[in-house]
Amino acid sequence: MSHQSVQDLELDSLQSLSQAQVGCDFQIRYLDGPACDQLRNLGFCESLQVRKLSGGRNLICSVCGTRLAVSRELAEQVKVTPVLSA
Amino acid sequence: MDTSPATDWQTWAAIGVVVMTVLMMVIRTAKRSRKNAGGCGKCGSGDCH
Amino acid sequence: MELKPETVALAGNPNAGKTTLFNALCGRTEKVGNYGGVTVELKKGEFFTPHGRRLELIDLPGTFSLEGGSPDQRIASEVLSGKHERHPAPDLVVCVVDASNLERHLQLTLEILELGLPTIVAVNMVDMAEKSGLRLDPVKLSEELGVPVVPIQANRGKGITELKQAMRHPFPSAPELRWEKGNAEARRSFGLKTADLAARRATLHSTNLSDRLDAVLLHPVLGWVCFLAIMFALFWSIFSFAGIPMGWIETIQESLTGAVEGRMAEGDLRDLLTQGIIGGVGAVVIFLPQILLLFFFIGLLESSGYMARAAFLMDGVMGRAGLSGKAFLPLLSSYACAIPGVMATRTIDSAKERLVTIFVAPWMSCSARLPVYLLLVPMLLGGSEGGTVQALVLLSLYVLGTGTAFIVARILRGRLGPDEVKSHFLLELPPYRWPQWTYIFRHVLDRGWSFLRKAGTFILALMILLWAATTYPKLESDDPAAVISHTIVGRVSDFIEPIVKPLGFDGRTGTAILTSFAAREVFVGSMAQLFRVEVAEGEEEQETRAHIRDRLAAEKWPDGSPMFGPAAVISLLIFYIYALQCLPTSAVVAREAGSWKWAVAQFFFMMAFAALASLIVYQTARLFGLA
Repeated sequence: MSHQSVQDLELDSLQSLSQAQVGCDFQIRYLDGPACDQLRNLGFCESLQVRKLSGGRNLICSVCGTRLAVSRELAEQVKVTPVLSA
Repeated sequence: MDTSPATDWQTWAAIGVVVMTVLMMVIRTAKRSRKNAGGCGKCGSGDCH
Repeated sequence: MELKPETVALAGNPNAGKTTLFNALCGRTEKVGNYGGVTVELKKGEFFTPHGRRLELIDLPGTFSLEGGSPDQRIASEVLSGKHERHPAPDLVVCVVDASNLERHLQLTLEILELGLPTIVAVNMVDMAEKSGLRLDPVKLSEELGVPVVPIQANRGKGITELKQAMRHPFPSAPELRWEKGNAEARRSFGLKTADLAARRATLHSTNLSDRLDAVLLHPVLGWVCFLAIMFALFWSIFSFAGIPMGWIETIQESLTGAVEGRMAEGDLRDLLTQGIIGGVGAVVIFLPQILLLFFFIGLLESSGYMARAAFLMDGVMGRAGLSGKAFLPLLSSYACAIPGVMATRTIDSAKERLVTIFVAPWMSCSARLPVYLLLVPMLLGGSEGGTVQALVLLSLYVLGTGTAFIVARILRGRLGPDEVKSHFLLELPPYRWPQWTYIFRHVLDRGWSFLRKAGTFILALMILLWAATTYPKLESDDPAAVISHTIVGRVSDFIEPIVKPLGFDGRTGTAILTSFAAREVFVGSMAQLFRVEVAEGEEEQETRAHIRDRLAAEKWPDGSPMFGPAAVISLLIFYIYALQCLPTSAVVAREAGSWKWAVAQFFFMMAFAALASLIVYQTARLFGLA
């Protein structure tokens, strides 16, 4: 485990927004799925930061200061990595 | 009829009002259907106007 | 010859404040709310620039993108790209963007710039954004985009003059694009870069009041407690607060009757004035305060931003009905009137979900049913008005209609089959805002005025006709029963009595139901006339509604049993929850669903359902001895 490179670590920590932990900040890495254009129009763009505010059937997250409620299937298509707080 | 004159003119006036109402309704309906402006004129409780 | 004015279109993301700006520019009171998708059709107005030029303004429904989307969003993109059948492309586009959301809202602006139309960017809600610590640089934004940028705060009228100044001739030419046209990827990164340059956020995620409110209002348990408490407070206040102004209306009504009776000799015209007009129309107008209260509360929910939260909470329940939380917003506005509710279904992406929502929308009890409920509910509970129990009964009537609507929606949704393109639940939760009181009061006054206008024209006419039908042809006899059965209404009610009797109604109630097919509120006035409730002189302390109720409570079947026992009243209430007695709704359903068949099927289904439900309830209640 101690032999892993930084890149591996990043790939390891890649997760979908629906699996992500509530209350933490994440960076959007890429979108993958049939609804990704719809998501991009709403503001889920690569490189933006997102905070997950609550989980459940629909999850609430905040992107660029706006709260959005999205369904679990949509959140599944957003791949994020945690932002490490300094 | 053995009604008093007062009752008599009231009867005629009432019938007049009723006939006028019918006429007004017919005219308004005809106007509306010619303009084909939907049915919202009757909806007093909506945001549809 | 006057030239046709040039057209200016307002475009932007949902809830960017386009309609607020439209109202500010044109001095209008179009419906606004603090959630996306309030405007679902084109709205047109006119205004003058400071140079005295007349411009036509088109308010477009909000959209995230010019591609795809729900029917309301497609209207916006059709107009902008010049593909709309009735509207050519506008001469100038004003892109309304929310200052706090430049990253997201600029994407649409850039798409519009690609169309090559003259464009001005109006950055709205700058006050709010600056209060939250955002540093906005309009000059930088204008340089980057190559178009004029005007910061505004539309609801306070700030920046409106500057915006009008910016619309002077010649219109700004379309800028040179600084990204590859048609390349979504390039456009997106340009937008993000521009937003980053023009607006600096103090902190990325700070917990503000909206977050703290949401922690409670969207809580899986507490959220529901608050939701139900809000709904209950709404119905309770409809019963309790409205009593005072209703008393005033009654006093006016009674003194009018007294004045007419004091000045006129007995005769037909006097009967027409007192029984037909004052009695019939008055019985309907008396509910004005309650209807105003209902609209006030709905306005409060809409403009504070709670509507979107209610939709979020309801998504789970709606999911079980095969609908999404998105469908809840149209259904909620159907509580005011089904017509705007049916129109609001345009915000639903899925065509099938939209059809199902349109189908069940009339079962959300609209404000026209309120008078009927308010007349009948106290009859169930001993006659007096007000109080928690009646508010609960009223709330349960609404819940019953809504619950049945969900069950039918589920069955129907299952039969229509799955969507070709799966759509997902996506909802913007706008920050809570202090309600715009001036707007709400103007809106409530508008609705009150249109209710009065309807009472003064349509309902008045019906009441006059009904009076005629209960009076003519005349029979000179001393037996009132013989007189009434000789009239048109007497004959009609004798004819329909066998049909409605199994539901627990006599012929006169049946006739009142028939008249309410013109408009539901008419029922109250019809009952007042058909059971001849006279507001006699010297009875001023007696309330008119209580009077109608007393009269109804005293009615007996020929065998001596009371006509309006609990079973019959419940049966009537059930009938009014389910029956679709509103022609304008059917017309709008036909238009929105795209076929008359859907509207006709809906009408007959709801009628059959209402009759059947009434029948079962009445007969069951009788078995339990509630007749």
